[in-house]
Amino acid sequence: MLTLPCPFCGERDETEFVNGGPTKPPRPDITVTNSEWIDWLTVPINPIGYVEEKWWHAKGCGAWFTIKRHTVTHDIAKLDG
Amino acid sequence: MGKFSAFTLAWNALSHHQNWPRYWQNVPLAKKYDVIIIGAGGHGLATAHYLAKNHDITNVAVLEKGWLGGGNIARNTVTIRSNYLRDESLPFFVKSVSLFEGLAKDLNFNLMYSKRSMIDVIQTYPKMREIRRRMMNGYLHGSSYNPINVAELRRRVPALTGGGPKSRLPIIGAMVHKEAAVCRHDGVAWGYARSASRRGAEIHQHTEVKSLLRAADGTIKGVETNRGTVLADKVAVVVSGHTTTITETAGLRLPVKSFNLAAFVSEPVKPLVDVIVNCPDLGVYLNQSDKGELVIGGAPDPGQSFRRDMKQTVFEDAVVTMLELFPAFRRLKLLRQWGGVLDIAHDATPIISQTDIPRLFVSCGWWGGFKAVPAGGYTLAHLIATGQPHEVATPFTLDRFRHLDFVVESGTTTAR
Amino acid sequence: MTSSPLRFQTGGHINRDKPIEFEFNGKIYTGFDGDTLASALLANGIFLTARSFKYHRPRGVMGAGVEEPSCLVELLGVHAAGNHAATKVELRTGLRAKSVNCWPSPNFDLLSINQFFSRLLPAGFYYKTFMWPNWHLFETSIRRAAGLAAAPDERIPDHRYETRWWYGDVIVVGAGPCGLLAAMMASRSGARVMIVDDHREAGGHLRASRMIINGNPALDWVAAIVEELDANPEVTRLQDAIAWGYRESNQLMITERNPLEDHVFQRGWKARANRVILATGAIERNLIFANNDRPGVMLASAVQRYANEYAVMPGRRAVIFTNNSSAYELAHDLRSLGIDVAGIVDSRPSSAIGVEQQGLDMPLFAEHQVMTAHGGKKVQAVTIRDKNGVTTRLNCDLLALSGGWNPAVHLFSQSRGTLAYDADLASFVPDKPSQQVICVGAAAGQMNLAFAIVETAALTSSCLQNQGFTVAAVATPELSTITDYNIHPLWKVDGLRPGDKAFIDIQNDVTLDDIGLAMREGFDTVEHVKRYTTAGMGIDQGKIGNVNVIGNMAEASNKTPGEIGTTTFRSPFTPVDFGSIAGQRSGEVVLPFRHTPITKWNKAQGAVMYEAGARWQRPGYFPVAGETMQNAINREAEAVRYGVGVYDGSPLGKFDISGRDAAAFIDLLYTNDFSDLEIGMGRYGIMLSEDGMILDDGVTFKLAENHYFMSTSTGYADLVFRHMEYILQVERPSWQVWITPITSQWCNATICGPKARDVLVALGTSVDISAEAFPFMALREGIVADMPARICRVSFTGEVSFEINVWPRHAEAMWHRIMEAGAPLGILPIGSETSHVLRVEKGFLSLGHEVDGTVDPFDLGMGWIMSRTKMHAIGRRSVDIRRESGKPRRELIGLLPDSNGELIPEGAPITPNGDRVASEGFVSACVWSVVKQRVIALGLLLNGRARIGQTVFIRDREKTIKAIVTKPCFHDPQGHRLRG
Repeated sequence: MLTLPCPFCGERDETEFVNGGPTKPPRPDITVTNSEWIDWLTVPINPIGYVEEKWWHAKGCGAWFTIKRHTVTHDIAKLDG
Repeated sequence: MGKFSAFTLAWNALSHHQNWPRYWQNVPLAKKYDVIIIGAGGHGLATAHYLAKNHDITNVAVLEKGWLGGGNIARNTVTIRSNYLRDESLPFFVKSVSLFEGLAKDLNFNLMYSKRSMIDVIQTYPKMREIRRRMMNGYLHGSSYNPINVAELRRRVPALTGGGPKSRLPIIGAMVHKEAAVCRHDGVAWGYARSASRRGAEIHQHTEVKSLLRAADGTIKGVETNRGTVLADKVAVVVSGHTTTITETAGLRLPVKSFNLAAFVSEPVKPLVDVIVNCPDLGVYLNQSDKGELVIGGAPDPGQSFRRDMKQTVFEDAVVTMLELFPAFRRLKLLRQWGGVLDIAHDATPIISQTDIPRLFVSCGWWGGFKAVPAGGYTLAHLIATGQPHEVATPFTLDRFRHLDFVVESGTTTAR
Repeated sequence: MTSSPLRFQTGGHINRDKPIEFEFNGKIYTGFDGDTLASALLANGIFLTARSFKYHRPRGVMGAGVEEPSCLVELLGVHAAGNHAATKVELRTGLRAKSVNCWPSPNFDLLSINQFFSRLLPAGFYYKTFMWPNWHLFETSIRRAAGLAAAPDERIPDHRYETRWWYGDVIVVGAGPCGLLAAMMASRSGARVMIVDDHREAGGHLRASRMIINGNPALDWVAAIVEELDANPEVTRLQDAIAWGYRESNQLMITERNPLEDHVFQRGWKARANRVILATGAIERNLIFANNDRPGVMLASAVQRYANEYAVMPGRRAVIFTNNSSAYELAHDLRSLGIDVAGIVDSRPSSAIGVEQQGLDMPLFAEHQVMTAHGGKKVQAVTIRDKNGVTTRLNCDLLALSGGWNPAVHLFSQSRGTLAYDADLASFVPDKPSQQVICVGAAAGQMNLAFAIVETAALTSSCLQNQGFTVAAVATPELSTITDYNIHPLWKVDGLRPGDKAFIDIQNDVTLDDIGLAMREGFDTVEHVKRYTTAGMGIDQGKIGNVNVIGNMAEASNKTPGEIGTTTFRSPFTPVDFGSIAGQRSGEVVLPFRHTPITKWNKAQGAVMYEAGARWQRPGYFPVAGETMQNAINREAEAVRYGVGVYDGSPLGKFDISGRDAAAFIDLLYTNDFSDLEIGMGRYGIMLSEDGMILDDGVTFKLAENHYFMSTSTGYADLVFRHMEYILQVERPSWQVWITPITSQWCNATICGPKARDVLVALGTSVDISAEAFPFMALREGIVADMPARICRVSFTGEVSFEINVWPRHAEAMWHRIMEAGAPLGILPIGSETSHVLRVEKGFLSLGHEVDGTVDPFDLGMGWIMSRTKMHAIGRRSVDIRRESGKPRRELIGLLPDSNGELIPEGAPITPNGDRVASEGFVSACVWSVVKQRVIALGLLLNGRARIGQTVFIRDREKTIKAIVTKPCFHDPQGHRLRG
């Protein structure tokens, strides 16, 4: 069980959270081509290494937040910027 | 010679088993092959077997980063079944189950294939409705699914003492899938490897593909490995969990994410459960191996993962729900738990397909892929040999993503 | 019977004042408090305690702790459970146990005949045979023979398990000398500490030795530390507790086997600390020679423990066989205890044997190896051999082995730390950690206790300093002399012949031959050998044997053990009860119910309750005495069509949405336009997933400018909430919208039917409820039956409906007032079965029926809900892409089946010509219609809308049912009634 850093509540046990998958690029404008749209919709980042992903503090404050988690070690690193 | 039978076993016993041949041959890695299969797992080895057997293509190298049969074929819950919901999926899995039935003979290798039925335990009416839909649709494709009442269920699974009328989710019925079977999972890999090797395919373990190589015209031309460059006319990526790691070396991105799916076994005990028991409402399933261990599976980890371990939360949920139906198992002991990395496609349905890179093929998105090993190998071999998808695997090509026309097989494994 | 033949009159740490009777294989014996079942059996001279897994060879106790490979017992009676190592079963009053895997007894076991067929049963033999005619023929008997103990059954009393959480600075695993020292230092530094130890009492190896510390018996030093730790409230000390799992974020899973509290049977701990100190010691391995499994062949460390801790001497004349100096400690102890030692057989050259031999007046056979053990059910002699092949026979009834020590790296490896092969130690040691963990003592590969103590103090000190603690000085204890470990690896003895039964995995009956066969057949990686031979796959998970497998593989393939590598160390370290993992979680704690204030009333009325999604329970129907389900549903449905009914709609998902950008937000979520909605009015909307499939539907009312009241389905309310918060927080963080889930803040009773308005009149309301003043799809706030209420005119039944929303504290009162006011009008409560009938008659969609994750609004004939101007609505683009392909779709239709009044199972496929081929559609819902007085159905059919009027064929397995395709609405298609 991981501990996850909620930006409001601090380090909390993973059981309080719901995973929201890897961060997607911003929702494309409606003018993009079909294949660009399909890529955005269906092709996720899938790295062996750090993945930037969303979590929801469902059994807590309700915040959606972003962390960088290593997909092998589960290490959680600071977000860029 | 190397044939397996009670007679050859006795004959070799006389010489203290000193003269059995190798299961697979060690040969030098050549510079070029007709076909390279990346990944000596169940699907990769099966593909090599069927390429040789059905299509007479034997100039084939199966390249394996680690040890053959070391991926998810080594770490699954051995359930073989075809009780899928959709017309797109059913023919493929029915084919796979039928290939499994004749596989021990085909491979001259005892896979301890045991057709022992699966019983789905139903605890809610919505699930009952979905299961009945499976029953009627499965019938059309030759996959049997028969309702039994609660008394019959308890007669057939005496250990199932939970789920009574006063429990949180009382059992309201059950469904028997007769074709369901289990077999010795490692044996499937070894049997296919032995057969493929005897038919002329080469298996190179500890040969890690670092990248895919493309010709100037964009087509595939081979692979770069830790043992040098190997060229091939056709390359198939069959590396559950690590598909994108390989394809992205050629700039090919795919609609899959990698997850860790775990399972665990109890201590070995005397025969207790003769069938595979699946509890879709609670999200746990189990069977008892011939060695006596209960093999228990649950849901994948939340979040992408390339680990092969057990997430405590997911594991606890599986244990807790199992004990709801089998309260006597509280005193049974956990022996070992493990995980495997698999990739799940955007629509959670497998992919067996030509890719955007000419003559590069992928087989991925397997989630519960053990049962699909024979048909997966059979149809991928067909695709590689003929360039056309096999009819039972047509719905599984990447084409479906071009139109967002998904195969939505809800409950591909159990889900709460 | 207080004195047993093999028990010393004095010494040991057992309580001779407390004899305990126990039963083993049907006979009664006596041991003492402080004994394990294994020590008590040995004290009673019981050496043959088990039969082996495959060959059913006689076996006895080999170890003294978790490493025990062979003596597994089944516990009977109140504590019934299988496969317990006798070395870890504490002797207690009433203990009853029997051997596993033999019948009728270990002394006379019928399947021992397998020994004579052993040539036919090499590793993997089953892959090569049992194929003809069919494996299934053989399977049943093989299954019966496998499996060790019988499984626990339902007669087991309800053992109480519980779970506790613990958070702190340091967890120390192992209360041997190094663990105790580390815990004491952490405790004195002011840290919050947990120390976990597998044994009943602290002390580790010191309890098994005759070591002197600071001039006194070692246990005096142990007792002082324990006293100090127990006096500190910040220290939690768990004895007889096994740390079995090392998880992410430095969390340890621990099972406490015998908590102090009587009402707790076992307790699981989830403990998390900033630092973990592993002082888990080392596990001795055996040596590989012929018949190395005979009863009386034991690990040297086990013999030492039995002699010193339990005052049991498991033999009268011993031979010690070793490849390192640690076993000499046993030799010295046996000499002090006056036990006859026939010889020390040391495989090392004389030059390697140092001070350890001083003062031992017993034969020392340097550069000798044990070739074979003699004897069947008990070892009687050994044949030893020197390097020139000269053999000698030594009579003995006990053979103590030390093949070297394996640091217990299991938890370290589980924490994802890497291991390295240490050639000096001939074993694997911790290398690079991956979490905040350090290893100390033998677990870190330091086999010399004097050095280990010094190193532990230094490592613990820096570990504490790194956490900001000021480390208090501790005195390093002074030990009586300890010799260097000095191992010369001996992976197998020389001169073994094919067919010799030299076991490498005692529990799974894997011999050295099996390893050789596997490698000859091409299984040349350690995982292959394990899987092909099953070495290391037993209940002991190869604690004593695995490194021997690796060593022998290395020798056979001219590699180093480091190149061969280990198999993966998995949790649990030792088997633990599933009950201790689940703790208190059972029954309603697993899936808590959600109740409405009306649930009790519903149940009191005899409603059949259904699981309604999202853990809500709702009434399915309200049968009166003697009534069938169908009759009850018909009666309720007729009430709504021709009179009035009421249902408890409280579980319906409800959200309050407000803020400057609320309208834009709702427009983004729904495919249709909400921007022109007037205050006090509502609109039906469909929410799509990103894939362009229907996710949810419901009505949203505009309460005021920038203030909305949204309803969703019951089952998907939580998912919709998550979806909305995601869109808002992640994609539109600058928008000012507040979403409040109010599902449980508003209960609702929906009064429906032609007489609904009359009921409302009878209740008394401040709201003008005339059709003109209060039209369909409007919302009014006011007083109903003297209670504040929010009334919505929506209809899921096709009749006039008033959804009376009230606060939960008023819900029950409102319900009773409605039933009273409606009684003269014949009002009936209706259940979800009836709602289903009514909505099918109207052709309204239902999630889980028509909507099964593959349909979009066009498929349902609801293209009108896809706004032409709102192309950015979620899911819209995906729908368009899919439809551009022009592939025929399954479309919602009505069906009039020719089924003689019988209902068709929902989900039944529709197939071309009724043939047994892939389906072209399916029946999504089928009911008896009270308005049509016949069976009607809804379905999805390929190109369905173009096929209205045609006949199609439904297949329910063998049965084919004809049906006419109709429009998907069977009642009031113009909607006059619901607007009335």
